[in-house]
Amino acid sequence: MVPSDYAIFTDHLTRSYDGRRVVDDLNLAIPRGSVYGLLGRNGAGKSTTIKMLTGMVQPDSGDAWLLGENVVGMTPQHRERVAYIAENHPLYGWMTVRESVAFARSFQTRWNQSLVEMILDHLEVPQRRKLSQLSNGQRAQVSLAIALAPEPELLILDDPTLGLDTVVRRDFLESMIEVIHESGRTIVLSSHILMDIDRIADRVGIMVKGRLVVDCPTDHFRSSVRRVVASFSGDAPDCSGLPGVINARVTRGQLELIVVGFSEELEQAFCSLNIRNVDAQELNLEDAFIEFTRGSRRSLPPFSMEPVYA
Amino acid sequence: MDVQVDVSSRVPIYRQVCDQIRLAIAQGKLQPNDKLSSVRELSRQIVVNPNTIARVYTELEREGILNTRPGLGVFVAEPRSDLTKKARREKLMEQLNAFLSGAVHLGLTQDEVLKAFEEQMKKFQWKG
Amino acid sequence: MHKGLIYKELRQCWFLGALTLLACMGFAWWGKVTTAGYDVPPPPLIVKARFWSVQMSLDVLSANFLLCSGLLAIALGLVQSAWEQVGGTWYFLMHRPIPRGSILTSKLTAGLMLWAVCSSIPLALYIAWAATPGTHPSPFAWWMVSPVLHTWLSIPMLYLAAFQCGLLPNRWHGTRLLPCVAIGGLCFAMQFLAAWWLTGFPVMCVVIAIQLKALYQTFSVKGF
Repeated sequence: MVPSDYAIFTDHLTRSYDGRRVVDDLNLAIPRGSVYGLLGRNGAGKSTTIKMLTGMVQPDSGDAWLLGENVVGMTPQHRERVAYIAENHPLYGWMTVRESVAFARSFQTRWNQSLVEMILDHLEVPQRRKLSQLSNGQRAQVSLAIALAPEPELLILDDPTLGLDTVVRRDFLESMIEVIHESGRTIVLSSHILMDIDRIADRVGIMVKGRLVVDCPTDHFRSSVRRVVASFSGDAPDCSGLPGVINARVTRGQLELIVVGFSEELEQAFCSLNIRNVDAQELNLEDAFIEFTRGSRRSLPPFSMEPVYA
Repeated sequence: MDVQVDVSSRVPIYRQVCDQIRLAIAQGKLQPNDKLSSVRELSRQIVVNPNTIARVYTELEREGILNTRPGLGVFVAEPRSDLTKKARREKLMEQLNAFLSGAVHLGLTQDEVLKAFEEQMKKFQWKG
Repeated sequence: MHKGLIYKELRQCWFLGALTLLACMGFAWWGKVTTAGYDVPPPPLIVKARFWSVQMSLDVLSANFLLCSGLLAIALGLVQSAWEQVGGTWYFLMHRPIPRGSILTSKLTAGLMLWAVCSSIPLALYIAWAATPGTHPSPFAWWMVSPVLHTWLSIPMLYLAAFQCGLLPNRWHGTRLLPCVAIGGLCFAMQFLAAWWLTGFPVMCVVIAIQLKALYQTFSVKGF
């Protein structure tokens, strides 16, 4: 595999803080042109991963390539092709919107000012106002406008909708959709709002305790994780060792399992354990994520990375 | 075209959009040769990744429900069926059985089902 | 070096310079009152005596000006480094497409410029006043100014130390300021050296060179 085929490629990326592996042997391969949602609970290592990708944090070991170039010693020319929005949209509160734009522009060789004006006008961001006087949503839009103005090939966003209310989040997502329309551009965003990811990401990666445990198309992940409800006779059967089962509980005389990849092997196991009336439901992305990561105190089952489409 | 997406639903967004377009055509809200919104427009309208919409259109085109006219856009196809009468009848029976068993399990009476069925039939556009 | 960044630093820190000028004005005013009336108590912060200034007219007031200058250097160094952490603006700044070293050079240039201008104005005015015959009864000779000048010249070391402190990765403890205290002591001690231009000045140059090397080194590998 040649790293340049991917917008982002990491090779055994590892980083510890205080002896704890925050990012553990991470191998990411994000195809160019995709919208990639990086998910995980708080402390799963998303933010540290993103900081290593943008050179803000040095890895203990491993390598990362953005757009085919190693991030160690990133040149200004390389950096200009990558936009990065850190958590909470950091900008200087004492600058006005206009000053912030001018400040950011002074570093860039390419700058699409009409795009900036379009984004800010469309959302009616007052340009004479100081950043500290803007709402969170307006600040997010300013930050997005500044990130997009140099027309980057790769956009890395660390939880861009954090702290935004529902309406503002929608505005932000609409702007993101516009960004996606620019074909060939890769977007990587971490988020804790699964519904947003469901709308805009074509691939998801899920991190659990610093490890990447899922990396596949969004729909494939959704359809792989299922809640299985079944009835049984006699004592509750022990299902914890069955293939793909990540969680099992008995509620109101019914067996409830969370299964990754419903297989024939599993069906046969059900037969032999005398489990009947098996009903496998699909989950929405949020439930699938919750069930999948909650069941992960033990080691997670292998998740087939690529689906086979009919 | 009015498409609604419910992100909290268990049905994937991709299938929700597919189902709604199929329904709109079956009910006559979309007529043959009507032009659909472009991938871009629809993606913007319902705030969904354009690739998802593109997949929906490809899928429906494969089913023969839509067709793409290069440079013009995506249109509702003329209804046609490649299946023989017998095959179509078999398919209908299969779906009817699933529907009826569902109704029985819901504890409905025969009259209730029949009445609802007739009411709902009126909303669809039938051939001939 | 990046002009936009220098301008931004100056705008972000100008109030510290203004504050220093205000403080110096306050000291000057107090100095006037105390020398005129003799029975008005000196301001609380005043440094009462200096070892070298037994015969010197530029004593108490210049010492206070130097104190202000030193505090300005420390404040600037800390604000320019540690303040970028507030609100995570390091992440914004460090992703701008210019070399890291250039970010640091711009910051240091802006900080030193602001420091030099704001701390030299009061001293220069005071020296000019003292050197002008007929403004006051005591005698004046240029050699009296040298200890003040030497101390003033060594204050950039304090600025660099404070900047380095602000970049240190550990949490905010008092110990983080230890390098500042050490360098402050060095600044103070250096004025007692005989033949300053032959002894103190080379030492200062070496220290500053080491500090700059350490700063650029820290900055080039620093995680945020």
